[in-house]
Amino acid sequence: MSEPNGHEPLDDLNKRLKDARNRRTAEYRNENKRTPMSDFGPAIKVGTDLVAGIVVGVVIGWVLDWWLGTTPWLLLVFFLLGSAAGLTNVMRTAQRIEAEAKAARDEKRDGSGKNEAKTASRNE
Amino acid sequence: MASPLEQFEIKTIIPIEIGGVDISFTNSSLMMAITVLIGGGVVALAASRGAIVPGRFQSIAEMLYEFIAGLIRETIGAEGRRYFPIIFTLFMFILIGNMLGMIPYSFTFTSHIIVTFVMAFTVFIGVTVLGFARHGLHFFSFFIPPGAPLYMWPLLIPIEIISYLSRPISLSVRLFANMLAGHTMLKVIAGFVFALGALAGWLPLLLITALTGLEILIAFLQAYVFAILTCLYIKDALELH
Repeated sequence: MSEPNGHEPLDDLNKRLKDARNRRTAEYRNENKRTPMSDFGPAIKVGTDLVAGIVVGVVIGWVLDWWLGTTPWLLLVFFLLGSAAGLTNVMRTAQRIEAEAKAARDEKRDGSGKNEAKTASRNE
Repeated sequence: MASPLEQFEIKTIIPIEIGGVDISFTNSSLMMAITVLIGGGVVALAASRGAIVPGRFQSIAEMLYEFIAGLIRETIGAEGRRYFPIIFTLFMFILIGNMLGMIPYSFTFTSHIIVTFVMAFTVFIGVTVLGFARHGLHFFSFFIPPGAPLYMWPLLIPIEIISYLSRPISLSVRLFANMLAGHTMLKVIAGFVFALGALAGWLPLLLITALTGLEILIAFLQAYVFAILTCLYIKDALELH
């Protein structure tokens, strides 16, 4: 109707379309993150990581004891070291999950264009 | 009733012995051979057509390719492309092996620790060699936690070394234990179906139906976890800290 302002409704529509598209991209990205495996994968990892550290520690201590005849002292020492190693494994995984979750939160807050943050935290 | 562990028994199909070493072709070998044939077949079939509009097989192969390629891009970055073949092969081998194991009366070779350990140990040795090739003796700095004071080193270095050595154990036990436990559980609950009979047997039958779905998810998940951890280990070897 108002011929001189003919561009404005179109610009407005363009802007709204772009907003909607950005919103959808952000949503899609978050949907993608919530696949069952992204939560499940690390959860499976943590348990065995803890046990594996202890097992390796105990085996090293046991073999050294058997070799040097120092039963049971090295077994005890390496059991403690192995437990610490297992906990270190778990802590590292937890830190990575935390960093990823933080990146996901940042991404959600700022909408799109935060891909660099995500990869950066993953590469940490 | 059959034992729930009977399904894991190794049965010799063609006995072969060379120099006193038993290298018989077993049901485990047979399943691995079938796995390699299926894996290689799907990829070869897809690659031979190379249609712009992919058919069924090509779609499957492209999906798997893109899944692993994306995984490598996200975890290792651009440098990881070089390690695509080994990661893709491991992923396909474990995935198809796990999935074949879901077929009733078949055999799950990933439920044997020796199979998973060989794969995990190969990754471990490969990653260690890669680390030394890339950084030389500087690779040992991997065992020194960044920012730790000097007097803590005698305590922290053994912890780091044990943590590093625990990787192949953790990697192999995770896959093996999940497959072993899952398949044993399915058999035990299947035993209840017959034990409880027509009266209450439908209850464990319902449960086993749901658990079969879960097991299929786990079969995929374990292959995925193995692949992603291989990626992370390669990344560690490339970048140290």
